Amino acid sequence: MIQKKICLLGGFAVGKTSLVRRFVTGMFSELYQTTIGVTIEKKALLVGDQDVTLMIWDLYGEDDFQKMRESYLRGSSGYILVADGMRRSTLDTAEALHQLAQSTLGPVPFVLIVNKADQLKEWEIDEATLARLRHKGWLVFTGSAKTGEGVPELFMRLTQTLLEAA
Amino acid sequence: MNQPRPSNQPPSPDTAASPQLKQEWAELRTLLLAPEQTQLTELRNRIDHTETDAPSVSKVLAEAITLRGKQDERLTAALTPHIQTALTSSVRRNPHVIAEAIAPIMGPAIRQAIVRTLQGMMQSFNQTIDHSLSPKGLAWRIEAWRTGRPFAEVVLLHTLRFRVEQLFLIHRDTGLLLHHVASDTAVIHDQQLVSGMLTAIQAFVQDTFSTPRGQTLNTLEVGECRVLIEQGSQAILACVVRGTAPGYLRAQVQQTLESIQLDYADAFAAFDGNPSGFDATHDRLMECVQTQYETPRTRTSPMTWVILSGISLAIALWGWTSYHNNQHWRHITQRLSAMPGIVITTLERDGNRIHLAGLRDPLAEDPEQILVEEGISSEQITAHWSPYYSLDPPFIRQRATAMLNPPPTATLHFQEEHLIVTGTASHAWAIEAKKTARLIPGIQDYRDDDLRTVSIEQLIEQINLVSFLFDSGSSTLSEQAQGKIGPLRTLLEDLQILAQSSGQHIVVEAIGGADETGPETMNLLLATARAHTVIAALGGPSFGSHLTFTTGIETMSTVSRSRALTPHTRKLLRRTSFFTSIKDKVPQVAPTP
Ligand SMILES: Nc1nc2c(ncn2[C@@H]2O[C@H](COP(=O)(O)OP(=O)(O)O)[C@@H](O)[C@H]2O)c(=O)[nH]1
Ligand SMILES: [Mg+2]
Repeated sequence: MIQKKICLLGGFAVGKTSLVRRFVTGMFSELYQTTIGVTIEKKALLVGDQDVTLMIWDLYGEDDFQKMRESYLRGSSGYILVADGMRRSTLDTAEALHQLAQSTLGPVPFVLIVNKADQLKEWEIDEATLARLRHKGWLVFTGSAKTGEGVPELFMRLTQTLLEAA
Repeated sequence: MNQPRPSNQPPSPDTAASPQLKQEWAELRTLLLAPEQTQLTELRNRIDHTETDAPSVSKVLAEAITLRGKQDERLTAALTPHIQTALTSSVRRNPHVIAEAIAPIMGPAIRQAIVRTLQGMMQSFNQTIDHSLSPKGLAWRIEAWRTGRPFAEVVLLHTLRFRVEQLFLIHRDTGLLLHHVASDTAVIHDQQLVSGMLTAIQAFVQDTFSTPRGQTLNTLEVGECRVLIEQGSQAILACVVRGTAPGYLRAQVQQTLESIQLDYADAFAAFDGNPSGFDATHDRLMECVQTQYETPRTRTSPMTWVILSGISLAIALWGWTSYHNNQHWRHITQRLSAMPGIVITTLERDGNRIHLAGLRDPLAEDPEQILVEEGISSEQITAHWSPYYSLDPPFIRQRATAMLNPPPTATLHFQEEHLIVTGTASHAWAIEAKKTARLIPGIQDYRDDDLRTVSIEQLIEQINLVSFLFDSGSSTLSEQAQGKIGPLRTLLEDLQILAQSSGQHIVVEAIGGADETGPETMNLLLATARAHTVIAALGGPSFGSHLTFTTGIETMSTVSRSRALTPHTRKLLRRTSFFTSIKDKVPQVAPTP
């Protein structure tokens, strides 16, 4: 058994908590509840023949409290950047957070998910933008906490990357 | 003003053709509209330069924002980036401000998360105890109800000084659990989550209060649990203690952590999320898992002693008094039951009153007398006696004596329900007694074999055979004569008793005698003296109510002159003899023939 701490980073109301809840409990709620401080969830996975327990830290929504985030980030083996496809700005936030995470944690694995794929019509983020990021070497997912689309793959992929990196 | 009135339309300055007129118009306008003109100019100025008029804007700003906000979301959209930027720069410049602002809500929120995690343990603990319904448990339950404390708390207060329930060895940077140990009784929730939360709290506290490095949160209280948190360079050791942790526990936790960090330096360096490298810390951690129960109280408050000794004194006093009372009562009971002729069936104390009931022989003593002798006043006594005949030997004897009324010459003996009569009694009494004796309760058998029965006549005969000889010329009793007085008196007494019982009267004539020697008159005197001497020796004339003495004389003259007197006959004349006779009813002195 191996344990890994990962973090979810992303702007306000992009769906971090929803993604974690979907992944851990398989449920989704329209009700928005601000995460205050931090919530830690646990999920056991089998990757290949390796038992992995993910300790998933879901930080509160505000992104810019640099100092606090650092201490919560510390010890993370990787992180998930979350952006809201319906808000272009959240991708910028994600990129900024990525910079911060790298400076704090070093070059640890990460994945990006552009969430709320169930509302594709209203997306402000286009494929080209995502392609540009993929080109930079990012692992970019699109998905939805609401439908569950892309969620297991997201966590699975990050976990695989973590194990490979280790 | 003398000018022709223009048509309906006011004349416009521009319509005036001549400059002269223009000039005049201007003057007129100035004259008429000077104040309004100024105001207009002012207004125009204001409209042209709105953006610079901060004071005016400030007057309507709040209202304007409210109104605009109501219309659509564009104001929010417009403001959001600016506010974000403002916040960002604010936090960059001075993070304390924001940290302080949100700390009040974050603290409780995080605490709540921990509480919920640990609450699971609590509840199960409470439940375990809830189900234990020992007498002690019940007593504690009552105490909990009385003091309004949770039951579990009461139990802890009573039994537990402290118990180290769990230890979390946590990787410091990741918050990942390296190893976890728990006591048998601990209810383990999700140690990995708890471990993460503990780290998060640590981080939060450090961030929020910007404590210098090394100064971290080291104690956390959650309900009845206290979490001692020791932070090292590599790991955190959190120790969940129920109850009041003693001071040395923290030092022990600290030492354990330090030694683990030292011995597992390689494992820490190589840690990739796999905690198996720390399994060997188990024993070391278990050393911290300990329970110390409240030792039975050895110290008792002085008040308790005072009360206890008071109670024991009271008990002793009560015991002593009641012992004495009981002893006294037993003594009374014993005395009563030992009383002959009394059978106690009820002897009760009812407060001050004493109820007595039973059987009482009419001849028995009064039992109340005994109670009175024992210091119980007769007013306190209620007695009810049923008469009965006691078969106690003394009672049978007493009863027999009363019923048979034997003469003093007869004696009653009582031997094992046999009544034996000895001595002398009249024939009549003997017959009567034989009849009565059978009717006396307790008498089985009556024997009078040894009873001598005598009649008056027999006694008289015996008495009349007695005589006292005197020396010549003497009227004093010789020694030999004196020896006869006693037996004679007995005979006389018996006689008198018989006479008494038969209602007769006895007259005993003592007859004094004298021989022919000496002058006749002298002899008469001597004979009289000799009779009196014997009567006096027998007890005098007042011998008894049913017996009277009289005197008589017997001289030569009175006997027979013709008889030839031999010395022996002569001697026989110097004597006192008796003649006893029965007088019915009236005692009379028998005339001497
Ligand atoms: N339509 C849709 N809404 C979502 C999705 N994920 C989250 N939301 C909603 O977005 C809001 C914010 O989600 P939350 O997970 O709390 O965001 P967080 O602040 O990043 O943790 C909530 O009202 C969610 O219901 C999604 O995939 N589709
Ligand atoms: Mg959230």
